[in-house]
Amino acid sequence: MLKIQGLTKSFGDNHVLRGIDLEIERGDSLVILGGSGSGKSVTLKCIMGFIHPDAGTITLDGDNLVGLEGRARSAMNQRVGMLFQHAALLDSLPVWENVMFAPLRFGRVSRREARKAAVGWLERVGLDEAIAGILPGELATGAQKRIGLARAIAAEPELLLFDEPTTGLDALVGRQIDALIRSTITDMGATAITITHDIDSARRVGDHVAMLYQGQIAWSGPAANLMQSGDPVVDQFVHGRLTGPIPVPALPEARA
Amino acid sequence: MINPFAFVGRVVLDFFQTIGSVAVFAFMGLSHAVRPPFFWRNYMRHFIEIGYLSLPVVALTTLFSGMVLALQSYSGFSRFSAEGAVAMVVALSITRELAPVLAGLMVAGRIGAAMAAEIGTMRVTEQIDALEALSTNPYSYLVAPRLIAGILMMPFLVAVGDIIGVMGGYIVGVYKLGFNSAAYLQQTWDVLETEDVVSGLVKAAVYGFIVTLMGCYHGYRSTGGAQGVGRATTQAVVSSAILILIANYFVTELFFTK
Ligand SMILES: Nc1ncnc2c1ncn2[C@@H]1O[C@H](COP(=O)(O)OP(=O)(O)OP(=O)(O)O)[C@@H](O)[C@H]1O
Ligand SMILES: [Mg+2]
Repeated sequence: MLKIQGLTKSFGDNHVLRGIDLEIERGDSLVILGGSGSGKSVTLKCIMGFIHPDAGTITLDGDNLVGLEGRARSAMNQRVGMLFQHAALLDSLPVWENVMFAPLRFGRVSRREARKAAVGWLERVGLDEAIAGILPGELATGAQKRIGLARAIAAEPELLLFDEPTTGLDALVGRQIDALIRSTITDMGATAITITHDIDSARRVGDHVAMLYQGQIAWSGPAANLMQSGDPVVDQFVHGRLTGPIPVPALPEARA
Repeated sequence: MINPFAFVGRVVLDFFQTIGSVAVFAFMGLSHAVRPPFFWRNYMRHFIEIGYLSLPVVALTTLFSGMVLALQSYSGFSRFSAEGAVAMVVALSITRELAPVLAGLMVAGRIGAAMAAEIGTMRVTEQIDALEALSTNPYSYLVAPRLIAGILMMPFLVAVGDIIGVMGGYIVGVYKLGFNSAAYLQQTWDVLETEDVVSGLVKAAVYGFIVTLMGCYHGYRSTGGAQGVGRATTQAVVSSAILILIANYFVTELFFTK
């Protein structure tokens, strides 16, 4: 179980997280919704240890995740896999080495085996083996995201973090990625947190949904209840209304 | 109103803070070079990048410097009939000063800039975070191989530069100025002492460290997209060049003051 309590983080005067509380059961899929700049990526980066929170605790099955350094951090990162918002593939390595980075790094496979195994993972995310030898910089965003996904799951972690897996992709590819995430969670029995702006995607991927607003969890509940949450913030967000508790900056040509 | 004392204080504090953070960075990089894991493929890549792919630039600059030195010293020394000193001037200037400094500056432009740009891009596109997410320490993976390649490959480059520079002097001396070939080589051989060559190679290792350290440091700390990476690249080259010229004085003093 992943447990987050009182997670707080400010950048100067920008109080991004003001006490986040979340609990995710093992094998559960949680979607975090929230507007742009609401601190969704910062939350994931606190879990990964890229950002040190000002206050709060994060534990995975009782093991602390905050403030780890060196070997402890490296060991913990083996238990957590992440798909980055912009894929963040290593552009000096060909696709197959990106996908198999973790297994190669820990000597679990030889380079020859890794190359073969990479093809399997690529197929699994709907990519052709022909791209295995290409450098990732030459590929379209959709393909890069899928490779990032393959890289995260090839490490076979207990906890998977997906930062906007479908943003910037067309609806068809987006649906495929959602299905992939869903099947990965089921097949691997992993716990997952997915960040998204996309309401349909949230309902497809999540068992539970949490809405991040003004640095706190404004609402959380089963994904099935998302459309009838009764919470004014969630209501406005999921229906995309311009009026409600979330202030929408008025543009000269905006029409309600 | 700017308080001049506060201003000076700020500048001095910033200066020491920078020195401190560069020192910590260098320590982290070097300490990961002596403890596992070792990413041998990355070491190989940078050995080739610095030691092999920089050969043409270094060869060209030292060749022409040797040639120019021969011409200049000949026209100077002929004023008091000391033409015989040409071989000596070429050999000593090349091995002690010109080969290491020129190679250092060329490698700063070629390698230091590329390292800052590559690592800077990796920083702003979150590839460095991705490395950590894959349980890989960026100091082991990115910094250590570059520092070690700089320290070990620069002396090799300079050794080659020494030979080519002396050859440049020889070509001009023998084919243009009419020196006797055997006598020129004999003079070169007689005048050179181990210390001359060794001091040049030590300088090379120091410059290799400076260039790769500045490239990694500025790249690693870059922020703010393409503009930040551009700034990091410029800073890497400028700071390498300045530090090389400063270090040049101190290493020379170390070897040649008795
Ligand atoms: N390293 C950082 N330094 C300073 N401020 C930061 C840093 N990272 C994030 N922020 C700030 O924190 C806030 C939240 O950023 P975050 O990236 O978490 O947003 P997000 O919810 O992921 O938005 P998006 O949907 O656009 O990705 C923003 O105001 C951002 O400027
Ligand atoms: Mg984000």
